[in-house]
Amino acid sequence: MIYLDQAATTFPKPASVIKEYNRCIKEYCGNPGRSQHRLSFMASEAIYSARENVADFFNFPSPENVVFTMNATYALNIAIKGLLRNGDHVIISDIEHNSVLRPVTALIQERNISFSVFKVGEDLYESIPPLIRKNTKMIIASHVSNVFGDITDIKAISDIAGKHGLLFMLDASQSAGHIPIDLLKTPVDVLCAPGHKGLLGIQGCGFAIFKSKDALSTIIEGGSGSDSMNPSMPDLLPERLEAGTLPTPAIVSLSTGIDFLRSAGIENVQKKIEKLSERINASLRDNSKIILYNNNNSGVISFNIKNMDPSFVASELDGMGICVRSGLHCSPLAHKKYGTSEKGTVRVSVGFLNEEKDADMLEKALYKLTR
Amino acid sequence: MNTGFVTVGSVTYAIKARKILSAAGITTAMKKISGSRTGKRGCVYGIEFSANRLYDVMRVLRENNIEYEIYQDENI
Repeated sequence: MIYLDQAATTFPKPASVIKEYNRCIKEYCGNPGRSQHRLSFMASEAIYSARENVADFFNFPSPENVVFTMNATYALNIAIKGLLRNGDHVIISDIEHNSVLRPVTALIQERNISFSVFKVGEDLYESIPPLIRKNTKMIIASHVSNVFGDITDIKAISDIAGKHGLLFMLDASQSAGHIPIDLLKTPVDVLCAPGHKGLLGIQGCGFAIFKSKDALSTIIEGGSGSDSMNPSMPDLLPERLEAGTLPTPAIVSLSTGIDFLRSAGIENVQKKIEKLSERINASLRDNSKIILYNNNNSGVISFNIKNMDPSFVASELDGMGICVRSGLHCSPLAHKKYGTSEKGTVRVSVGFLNEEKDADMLEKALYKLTR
Repeated sequence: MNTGFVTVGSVTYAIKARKILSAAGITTAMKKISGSRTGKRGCVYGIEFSANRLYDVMRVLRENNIEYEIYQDENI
């Protein structure tokens, strides 16, 4: 089997991730932050180490500001709904996933917020400032499109947000673990990412890194393991935003995935993904029956075969042992941008554990389908 | 009584405090105690250490902006 759906979730996971996940379940998976016994303390220590590891990976100084969630969508929701107030205006990109578009849209009704859209690929120093209003609170941007692989100039957004006193929220779902992100060099107010994609953990956790310790509104409340007679959530991060039991095995697998990436070298990971992308892009470009939409090497590639439905193409490829994804990929804005809203695209996405032979197999399979 | 104890805001801050104090050469243990013993509104996490290191503990926690409360109970 050739797995080219890394943008959905990475597969396979490194052996070290599986080993630590198993060790966690077998040896120390108590309920973290709840009990007085050793298993609970061991789980708490493992989670704190994971906070340190995540913070260090993004060059961020405060591990207690790393909030673990069940996935990136949840992280984006707690940040968007926790920070936006009645009447606020927000600026989002034209490649946002529904994990941003839907919570922002929900707040139009709930809190009378409004939003404007900027175009990724333009000179953002020119295009974003005219969108800023008196009530603009925040800019939200996806770092890499989950459909077409467009890469957003986050340095420009960070500069603009800093200059105008706006918050900058980064959705790093497709970039975390694939592209180096340094939060000291490129300040971001909230970074959200999943654990199970480029960071190579298992499914079940994501996180948000908050630059500020200021208490934001909560969207879910529940047990926090201490101060239990207080009817409100505690003010301190991370517990304020972590109601209920954390997924310890998923969190330690994420942390072990980060160790794996650190050993490999994030720059080497990025180079390999770019090389594989270039190889696949070249073969798609050479096939006259294929429409290739993107022109970047970020690891996320969308195409269609002329006169074939993308879901048919994905099923045929699956029949040949190749896993890709078809459809709209939960990103309506990106498809509007590229004029592919009607039927969507076939998406190929690569990760660090893919090899050149995977690209060769895809090329051969597509040749069979289009000859 | 030969042990000192400080309470902190959460399990996260208890572990952070323990690690920072360990790096400063102060041996500690994390504990969770019930609210009935602290006058708090529920369980709290804290750090136990040798009582003669109390002022060192206070200094290190202050230097690292970790809020704490000194708790005295001979049953700790």
